[in-house]
Amino acid sequence: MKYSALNLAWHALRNHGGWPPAWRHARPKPSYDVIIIGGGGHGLGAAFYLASQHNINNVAVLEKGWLGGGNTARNTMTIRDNFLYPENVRFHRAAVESWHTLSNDLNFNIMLSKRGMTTVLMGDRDLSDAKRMVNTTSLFGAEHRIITLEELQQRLPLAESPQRLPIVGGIHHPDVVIARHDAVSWGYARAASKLGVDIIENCEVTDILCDAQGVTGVQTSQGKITTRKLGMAVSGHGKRVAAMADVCLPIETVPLQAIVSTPVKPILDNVVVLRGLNTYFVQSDKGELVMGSIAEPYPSYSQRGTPQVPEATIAAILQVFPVFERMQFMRQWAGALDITYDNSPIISKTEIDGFYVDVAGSGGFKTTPLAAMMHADLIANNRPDPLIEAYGLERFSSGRLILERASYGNR
Amino acid sequence: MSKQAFRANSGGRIDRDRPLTFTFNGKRLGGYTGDTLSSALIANGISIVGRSFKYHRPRGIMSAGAEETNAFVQLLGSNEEPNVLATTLPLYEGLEAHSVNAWPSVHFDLGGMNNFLHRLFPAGFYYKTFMWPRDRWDWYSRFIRRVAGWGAVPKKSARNRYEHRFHHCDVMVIGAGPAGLSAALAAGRSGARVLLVDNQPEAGGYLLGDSAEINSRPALSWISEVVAEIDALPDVVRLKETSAIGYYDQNFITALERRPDKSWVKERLWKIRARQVILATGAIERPITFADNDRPGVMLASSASHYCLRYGARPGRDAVLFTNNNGSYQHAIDLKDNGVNIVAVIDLRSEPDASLIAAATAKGIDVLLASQISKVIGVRRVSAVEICASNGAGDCRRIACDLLLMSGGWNPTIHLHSQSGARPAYDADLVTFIPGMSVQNEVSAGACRGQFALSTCLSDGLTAGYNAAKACGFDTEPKSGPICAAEPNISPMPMWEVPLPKKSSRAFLDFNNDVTSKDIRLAEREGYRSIELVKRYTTAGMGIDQGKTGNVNIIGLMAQITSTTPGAIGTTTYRPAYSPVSFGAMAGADSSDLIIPWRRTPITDWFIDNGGHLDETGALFRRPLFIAKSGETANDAINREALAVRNGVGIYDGTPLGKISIKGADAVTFLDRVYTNSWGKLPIGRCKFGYMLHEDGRLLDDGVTFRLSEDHYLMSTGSGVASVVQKHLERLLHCDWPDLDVYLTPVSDQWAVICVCGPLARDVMQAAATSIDVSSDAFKFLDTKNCQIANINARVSRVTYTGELSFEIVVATRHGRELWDALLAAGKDFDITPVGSDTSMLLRTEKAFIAAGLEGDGYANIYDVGMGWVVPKKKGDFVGKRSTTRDLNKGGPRPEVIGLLPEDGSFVPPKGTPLIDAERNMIGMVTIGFHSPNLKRSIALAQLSDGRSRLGETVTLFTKEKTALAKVCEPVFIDPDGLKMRD
Amino acid sequence: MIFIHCPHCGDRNEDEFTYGGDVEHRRPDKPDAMSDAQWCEYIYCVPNTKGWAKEHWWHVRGCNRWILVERNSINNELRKPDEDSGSE
Repeated sequence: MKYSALNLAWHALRNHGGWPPAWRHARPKPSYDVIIIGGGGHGLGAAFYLASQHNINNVAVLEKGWLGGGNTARNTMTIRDNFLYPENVRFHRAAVESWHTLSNDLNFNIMLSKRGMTTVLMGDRDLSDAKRMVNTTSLFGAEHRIITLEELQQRLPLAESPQRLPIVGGIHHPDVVIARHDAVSWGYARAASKLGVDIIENCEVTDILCDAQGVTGVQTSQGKITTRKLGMAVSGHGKRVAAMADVCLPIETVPLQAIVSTPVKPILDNVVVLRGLNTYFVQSDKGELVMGSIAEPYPSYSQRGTPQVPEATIAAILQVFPVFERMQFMRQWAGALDITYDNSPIISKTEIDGFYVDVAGSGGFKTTPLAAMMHADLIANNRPDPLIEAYGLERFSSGRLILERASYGNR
Repeated sequence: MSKQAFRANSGGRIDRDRPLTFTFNGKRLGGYTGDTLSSALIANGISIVGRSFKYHRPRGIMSAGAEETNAFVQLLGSNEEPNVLATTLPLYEGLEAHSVNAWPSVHFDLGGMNNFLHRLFPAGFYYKTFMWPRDRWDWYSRFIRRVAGWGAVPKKSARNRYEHRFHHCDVMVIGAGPAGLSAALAAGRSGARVLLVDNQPEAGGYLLGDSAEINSRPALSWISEVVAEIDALPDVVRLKETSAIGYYDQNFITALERRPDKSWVKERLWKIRARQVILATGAIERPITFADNDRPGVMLASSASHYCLRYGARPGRDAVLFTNNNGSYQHAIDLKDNGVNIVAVIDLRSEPDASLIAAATAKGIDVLLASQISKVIGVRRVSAVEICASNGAGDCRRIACDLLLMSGGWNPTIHLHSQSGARPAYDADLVTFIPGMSVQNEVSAGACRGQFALSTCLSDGLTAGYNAAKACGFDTEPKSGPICAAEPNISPMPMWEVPLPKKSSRAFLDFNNDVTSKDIRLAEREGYRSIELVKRYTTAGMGIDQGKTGNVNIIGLMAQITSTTPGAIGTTTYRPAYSPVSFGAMAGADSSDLIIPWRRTPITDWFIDNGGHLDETGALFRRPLFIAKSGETANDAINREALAVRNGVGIYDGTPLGKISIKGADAVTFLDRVYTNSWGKLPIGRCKFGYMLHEDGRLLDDGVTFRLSEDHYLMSTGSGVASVVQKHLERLLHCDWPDLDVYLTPVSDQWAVICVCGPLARDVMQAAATSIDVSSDAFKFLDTKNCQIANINARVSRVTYTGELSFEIVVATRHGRELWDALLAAGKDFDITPVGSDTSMLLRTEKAFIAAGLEGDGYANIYDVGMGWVVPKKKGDFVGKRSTTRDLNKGGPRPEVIGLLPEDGSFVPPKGTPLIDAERNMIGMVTIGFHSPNLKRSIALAQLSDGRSRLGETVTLFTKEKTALAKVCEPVFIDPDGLKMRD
Repeated sequence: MIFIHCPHCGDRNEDEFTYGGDVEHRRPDKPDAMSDAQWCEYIYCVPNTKGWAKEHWWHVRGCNRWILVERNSINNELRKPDEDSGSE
């Protein structure tokens, strides 16, 4: 059933009693052409693109818990492309682009808002790093622009230059968008299900089965399912799932926390990044400030959060926005990020034939549509698209890493 | 100012001798000290306090505590603040507040249109529409954002002060109701260090507004005795108006104190580490889900009686109680006794406790059994209710009333228990969730454990307090609790939704976010079955109140719809903060310049006084990039400084350099393993340059290490990476090579470092009364010697970062400024020029001294940066070696460091400028670029793909503004043979 | 804010310490004898145990010693490591 204002009105007359389930709650069949592990944005997206772009409809998505319950549910909604290394810039540029048609492709409003982003630069060194980012990304057509202190003050009239780290200017990123994160997995689930994909919730993969030719299937909490092609798109547990196929991925699971305030009337449109303080925030459509900072300093699967991160994040924001003094911290949470060794994505074949992985690298919400599309393409054609050639696992044996972590440009 | 028409003439814990005036929605009203804003509003008969989030329905006060879901107001005046809970805000003189989410006023709100169009706005309606025109959600969101949100951020910061305080205790008790007081008393008597926190201005919990008796006397007299005893115990700390907000790992609890004892501290955030925690957080009464249950005048039964008994504020004149449990009868009776007429009790059950019916009837209260409310009449205020038999038999009757009390059972306040990592369990008898197995040293006592009777609360608290103290080693004789009247079990009947009378009727579950039972049904119908998905799709439980009253009803309704038990559905995750906390309190004293420490060197003040342009340069230092004379631009200053070093003499503060003292018999072995080169032959009194790699082959750091005595070395590191290097070395030493006899001591802050550099450096050294012969024969390049300079004990070394004749002088930090001044004085005749770090960077660029953090960007290795000469051919293992012996060319060309001379010598390519080929592929990157005043043109260093084989070629520099050509050259621009530094 | 037991200083807050990695991730004795593949596995495939793991922590803002800690990465529960593994 198509989602539209007209249909909404029509159903309103019938008290919304006739809406069908957004996706079929499927039971596993004994065999599929492709199985995707992970029912978040990346996994459901891969299934959708397999069906819609490669005519592979005999696909199952296996989700351990509830759809979109991993990092799709735990991020700060921001979609950005301010990277430093050409491979990453190219990919993330295209990833940002890939969001714009998504609501209509899926017939599900994922609420893409073109908010733009303002990075606050606090010191000459910030400024010189910013120039690097702006020059590199503009080579790939990005619109990032260094702005003066005066323009920054116009964009962020509430900001004040702090004593300890005086503001010297900023970067304006007009292309940065935000989207309603949960809706992405629901939209993909609905669209994929419509194309025949089986979405199987509460189905935990417990083993990956292989023979000499490669993948043969998976063992799950709902029984054995056979397949010759297996894609993995799990967050927080990528290493453990891949290990079931004896594939060791160069990743570590680290919690990243987010914090929200109580909702207030609109105060700013932009995503704001306080670079010298490793902090960023954006006001959601509902009015909450959604705030984040850097990942925890040690690996953990705990998603409970700590007291020190909200305190430090909020203290950082108050440095520049003292006017938020009486805003209120409402809720905190943590997501488990699979951080790759070089902080860049892995979308790759593995040494096991028929086993493919899509690992976000440093939080993957922002790349969802493109990464899913590329993952699907890789599974369908068994060779990487030029956009993701650099994201193969080979880079680790050759040492040619895309060390986005080496500089702090991405946040 | 109008009369407080709903205020009882006597009774309650307000101070009638201390009246207060306040303003609400522009109206001046009166109240008393001891009131909350909500009790004062009730006393004044104000029934509409706000408008709801989505439908803009008029809303009144529903509860009397932190669970309130409707009564959020905007505070105005000097205390301006958004989203303040009226139910927990103590009234003060001159308080100004107004309703939010209503325009033009709370009584006539244009947003109320939404209520008529409500069918168009079911849960998740926005996912189904606003997709035309394509990609234009922004148009809609601009409008939607404006109507969403609650209060407004104040325009100005009040710049209040906040603080954090750490506290350690044996037993922390959260909640000072009957269970919490008993627990604190039992634990306190044992001698344990006890911390008792409670979010109310006075201890007592629900008993502050209740008619219960303890030991046959009013409960309040028991409370004052207990509080007096607790306060007299030396090791017990009791905090009032303090809410525990977060429960973290290993019993780390944060609590917000709202009115600390210091007048200049607005709020204080406590960070508590407790050995044992007792949760005595009570329970929250649950609304019942029936049509129009959100009308002003519909209130939780216990809250109504609380307002009446504690504040003498009557929430209405004629009330109907709608209940499913035994617990609320007493509230009806208390209200009746205090001047609120109870027209009827409507009980969903057919057989409540007989004694309660008798008690109610004796008070002249009509009790209707097996009945339910089908309709609420009145939009701005309840005016009547329609009552029908639960089985639909017989006629319905209408009863006039202005207050509808509801009691859907009680939810133990398990938030903190759940935050501690435990999983709540469903109790079918209590029809709610209770604490499950503890996973930390934590126990719940009293109502928050589902023990609702006062006598059990008291004994439960005593037991918990006794046990917790005992677990901390404070064993005492347990005492039995006081005596209270018996109470019947509350025996609630599950009722997750009273059938709605009409298709258009709406019954609210999450009042704050306007989520109705229909929304939950729609979510389930559309396949959002997990409770987490229900929450996210409908936004139920995601409002400011975080679902304190609504969550269990939502879970229950989902269970009913899907024919399972609430236990099988489970709860969503409870997360901090239990109550919202101001940003100011979260930040504490981490404001202004205290947020990040500023490491200063002894010379920092001199730079501040003399035009130094300070900037963040890593490791918390702010250093001068250059030292401008008046009228000079940055470039002027850098050029002047650079020319001075090459032609005269400069002076540079190198104190931020990292310094690690390395001692022990195996020091050489250690250095051999962490540096690429060999250290066995370094004589005492000499130093040597070394390169350090990460294990994966990347460059970590470079620097000079001095041999000071037989087994004592001093390593210098880059200032920014000093702590990284320290950790790298310590980890290797302790974890991988514990057999080595080597000790590391970080001494970065112990020594000030001042460099005198330039052709005239030697003259300055002599003029500064250096006690040793500094001639080139006596004091060679890479020598290090102890001496006195200007009567200060110093160690001088011939090392350089500029490629000039240089003396690096190290003195105890306390003598740093003295030395600086002495050298400036000695150098006056030579026009000694203080030099900043940008200038220093320019000078090293001219010499192409490699910086690991710049030229070593990305995956460049030691060969790529042209430093292969520091890796001896035949050397044993060292950190990073194996990674550089991998097949390096497997992946194609390498990023090799070369020099660049832009064709336009006035164009300075900034750091990071891409180098591109004819197809605009990025083939390299400028690592640093400068205008060299010595060469009178721009120069740069860059990483270039296979750059060493491209010397002499021309490459294209790409910036956002323009492209430019540059010639690839050897990366040394001045004195390639290094004659000057060896002079 | 986890509460780490330092055998030299007692129980201290996490912010006095720095995480030093999984004990299992030990530097090989003879890197030169390893194949490229084995070496890469050592470099990039650091253990990331879900559950109990023995770890190095550095009491850098305390006694400056490296200690052994057993931590459950699922919920950050801590326990003292086995006696025989001997913390330094």
